[in-house]
Amino acid sequence: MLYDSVANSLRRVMIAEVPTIAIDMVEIETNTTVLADEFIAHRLGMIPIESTDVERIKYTRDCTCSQYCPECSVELTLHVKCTEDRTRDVTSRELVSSNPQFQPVLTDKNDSGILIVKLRKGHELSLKCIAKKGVAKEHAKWSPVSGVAFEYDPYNKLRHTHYWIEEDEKKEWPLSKNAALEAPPDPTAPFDYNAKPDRFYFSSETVGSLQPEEVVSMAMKTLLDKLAYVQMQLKEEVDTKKQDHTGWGY
Amino acid sequence: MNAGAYGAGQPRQPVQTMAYICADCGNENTIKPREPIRCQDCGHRIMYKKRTKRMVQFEAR
Amino acid sequence: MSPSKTRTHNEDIDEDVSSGDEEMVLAENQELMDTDEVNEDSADVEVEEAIVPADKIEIVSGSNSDPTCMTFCFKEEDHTLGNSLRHMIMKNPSVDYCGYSIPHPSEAKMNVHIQTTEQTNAVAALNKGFDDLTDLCQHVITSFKKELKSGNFEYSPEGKWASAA
Repeated sequence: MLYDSVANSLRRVMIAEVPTIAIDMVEIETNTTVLADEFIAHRLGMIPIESTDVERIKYTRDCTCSQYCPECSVELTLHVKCTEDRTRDVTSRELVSSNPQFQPVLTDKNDSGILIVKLRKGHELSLKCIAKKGVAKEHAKWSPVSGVAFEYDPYNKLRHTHYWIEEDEKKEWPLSKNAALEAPPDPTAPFDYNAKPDRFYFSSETVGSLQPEEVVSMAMKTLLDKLAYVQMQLKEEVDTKKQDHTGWGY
Repeated sequence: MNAGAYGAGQPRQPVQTMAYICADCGNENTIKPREPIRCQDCGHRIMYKKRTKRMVQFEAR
Repeated sequence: MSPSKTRTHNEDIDEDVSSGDEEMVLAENQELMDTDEVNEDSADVEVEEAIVPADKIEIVSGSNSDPTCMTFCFKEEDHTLGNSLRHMIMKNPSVDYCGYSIPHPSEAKMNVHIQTTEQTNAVAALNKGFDDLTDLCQHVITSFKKELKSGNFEYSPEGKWASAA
């Protein structure tokens, strides 16, 4: 039902074209920490932000506002000063979001958050972040997955691959976990040259901004939207050509 | 003196007295122009300028 | 220190086109006579996005005479669309040949070349390819959503949050 090319397209979209929210602009008011401004800004950009409701946020380039507004961005602030004698860890928990639907990701209530910077006594950090919607094609911080594994035909019944062996294939190449979900090949049966790959095993690990099932759903939806958009552009192009009568008779 | 054409921000003279931070003790010292550079507490002669009041913006990339 | 810049490459192109820079668009594709018309059409028809590049698809010159053999140039597209589209078009029995290529990886352009039998023409084959691919994706997404709803799944135990979830 699913072709190998479409499965690969799905994998590519999952990695690169599923939109999420991530910090894109950082305005630093005070920074007396040991890390440079741009260093901290880069770290802030990589913090995953809960993006389950990302559909509600518009892209900043599509928004009618002049710079940015609550419809196309989320504002987060951070104000920390170390007053005690011991090291103060500044984590993603201390970011205050203007929109409660979009908070930095936390696994559970015991999670201390992602470490941003450590402060000594007297160090201070005060900044404002603007988080925007984007896709990983623009910058990897917007990727919802940390990795997508994609496999088909664990028993190599299709002979798409040829194992490099020293002596014994079965000993040197252990079966993958997905082999348990498929019937082992019958050693006496002849090779089925008409078989095509049709069962694909995806294993995706997300960063926390989206759930794995959300990533897959959104990836398929993004692929559909992309197809619809390009098809419509094709229609426009063809219609324009027809009006020009550049020699097409249909 | 100004034709008024420039008009960028307020046309004021640069502030005469500035606060600098001593490199050793971290104390704030107000130094006037043409005054010898020396920390008032520890006598160290290297000073840091304070961070700009302007807001700096970075792309988080 | 670093001035803020929110413009990406995409957006530069969008801005150039929508500001009505006719020379630039004309230079890019000599095919399109009525550039203004395309822009207006795109702006009127397109509901989702405010700014639309005027030429997402360009029909490469030299393929005007024969409607069964044409090359389409897609801007801002890559293997994600190309490979699956090519596959679906090849499944069409009245298509003789379909191939896609990316002339240079630094340029976001993808060429799709289609040659059909006399029964149909390249544009129709391309449209059919799109429709088939859309149907397939739609089927996958509905089946997936149905499976999700039945709740018949669990997170992999290697996941850090499997216990928390």
